[in-house]
Amino acid sequence: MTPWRRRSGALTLALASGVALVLTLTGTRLAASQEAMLTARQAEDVPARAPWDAFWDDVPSADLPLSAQTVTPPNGGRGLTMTAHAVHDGAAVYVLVEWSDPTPDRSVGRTEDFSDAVAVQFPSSATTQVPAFCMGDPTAGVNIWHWRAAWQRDVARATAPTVADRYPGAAVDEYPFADDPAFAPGSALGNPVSDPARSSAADNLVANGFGSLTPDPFAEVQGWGEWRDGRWRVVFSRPLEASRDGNVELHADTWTDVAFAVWDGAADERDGMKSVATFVTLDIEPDPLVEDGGFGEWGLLAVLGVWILVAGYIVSGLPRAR
Amino acid sequence: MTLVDECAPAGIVGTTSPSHSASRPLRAVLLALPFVALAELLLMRTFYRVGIFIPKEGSFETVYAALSDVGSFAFDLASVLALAAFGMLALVALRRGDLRLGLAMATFVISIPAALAAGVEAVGPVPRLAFLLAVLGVVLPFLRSRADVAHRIFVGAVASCFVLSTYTGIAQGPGVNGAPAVAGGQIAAELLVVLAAAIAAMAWIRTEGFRLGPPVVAAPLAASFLAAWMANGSVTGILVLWTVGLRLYLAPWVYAIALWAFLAAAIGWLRHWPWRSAGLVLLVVAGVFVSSTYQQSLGVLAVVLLTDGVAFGGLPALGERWSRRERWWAAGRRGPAASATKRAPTSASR
Repeated sequence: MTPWRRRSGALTLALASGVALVLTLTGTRLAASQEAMLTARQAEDVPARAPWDAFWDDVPSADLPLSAQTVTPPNGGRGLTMTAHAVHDGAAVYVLVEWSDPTPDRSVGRTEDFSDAVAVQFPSSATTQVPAFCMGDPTAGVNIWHWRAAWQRDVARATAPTVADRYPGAAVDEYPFADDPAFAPGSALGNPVSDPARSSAADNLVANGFGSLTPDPFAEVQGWGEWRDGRWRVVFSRPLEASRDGNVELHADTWTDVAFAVWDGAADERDGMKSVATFVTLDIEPDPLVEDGGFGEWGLLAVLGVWILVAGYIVSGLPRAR
Repeated sequence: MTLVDECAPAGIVGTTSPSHSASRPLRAVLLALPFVALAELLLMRTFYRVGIFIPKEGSFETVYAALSDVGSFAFDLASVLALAAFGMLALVALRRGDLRLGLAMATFVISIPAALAAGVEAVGPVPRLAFLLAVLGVVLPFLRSRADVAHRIFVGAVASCFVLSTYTGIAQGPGVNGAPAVAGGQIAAELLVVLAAAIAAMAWIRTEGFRLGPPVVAAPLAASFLAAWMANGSVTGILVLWTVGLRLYLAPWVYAIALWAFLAAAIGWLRHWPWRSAGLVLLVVAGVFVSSTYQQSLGVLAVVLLTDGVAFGGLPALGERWSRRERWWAAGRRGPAASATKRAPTSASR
């Protein structure tokens, strides 16, 4: 046996190490990622307050699995499927989220009431890597748009709920300090959860890890939902550019990551008790929305057809091992 | 030239086979790959990301940067080794006259630079379909063989998991809209992972006979997962997602039992079927939802090792050193008489 043959294994590893070193030093990767993707194409006259408009049926979508939040206490949520659509009009981005929920829960009037809700989460534009999908990392923050059915009800009737709303038959002799802020500390301190005059059903939030969730009031973040036949549909919208620290900056012809979370009020879900989906890619394309654009069904069918032919050829001739 | 000519029959590790130039590089690459890939998993996917939570000051900053660089190098080396193994296996298939298997392997290899050059969106589902083709090319001859039933069911479950992940990956990819049962497919894939782990343990017991050692050694490792979960579910859950891609839809104790079974099989097979143990390691690194060509190449190589290389006529023998080790094991268990020429039975002979 020649020395080359004897040492061919070691030489192969040395050669591979050399190639890998060059790849590392040049920052070149020898692998292509194929993560799940949500594509937003450009369209005019997006019905942001009509989640069940037929327009949305032609918008590309992605089905995403939600699982119970089991990462940090209090755990909660459940496994279900949600559908996300995304589109933009050159100035704003719109994300529609649809999921099943047998009962709409729109009240937080009593301490035991919890609202249905949904959130969309993006990595903050300042980050250079994808943060942890559960509220981000200390060095990789996230920007969250959080819609609640209860907030929408407040916005729709332009007033905060009162005791009479919740208990219409209740009798009260007198509230001597009804206008005293000392008896409404939440709103007196500016807690956005207690804001009686909110302008949007969706809160704009930023976070850098568990326990760091912070409101970043931004009226341009809007959300509007409608429950129909056991399903919620909620449309989020925001201008592509925000120019705010900790928020996500979006542009046509770029991409970012997006994650989702859903709360079921009837199951007492709130805060960390939620169903979550991990990050998927949101690709914002300048191409117009067309019914059969892009790679499309025909392109996919053509590739699948060729694949079936090749696979059939290969499988039919594989040796029968003994 | 074939691996059958040059190497020991599938799974036999204690025999000395003629050393030829083609089997030595492949053996070296396949031996190094699990270690390098595991280093990538621990340093790049885990340590690098966990380090985000740790304040990096003084010497730790230097250590963190150095280990992150090592992890990055390990990723590149594992990518190169996986491609090299693919190339060599394609060559072996072609030299055996098995044009179809060679074509299946070569198609996947070619799809990688195509995806890198043209972009994933341009090539669409081609890399995933090429990956599936390679998996089918490797797995089908084994499923048609007379190998142990549990072993074949295990490999079939692994392949089914890859089929589901390929479907859900394509269905969520560019240009696809409204494909049915995507989330259901993902959940089913995760269920298959748990089932496959149990079947792997069964296959190990059926092919080797039960030994107490592997489950005993595996038990504290699996228990440590449960302990970590109870101590800090947040970090544990994220680490599981980052490393093997499991979303943990099921109860944690289900995964702990599955991990126990999986580790018992990996440790149990190590004595007589080390390539299968290596295949299980690669399976972990490939993850559930193989979403990059790197993970896909590891997935295919994992099934090559788990099927004892049946599609390629066998796997390279591990040489005299492993043979001596095996004889030492046999001597320790059965006395000197058993140490003479211990040969593990091939699964195909059962």
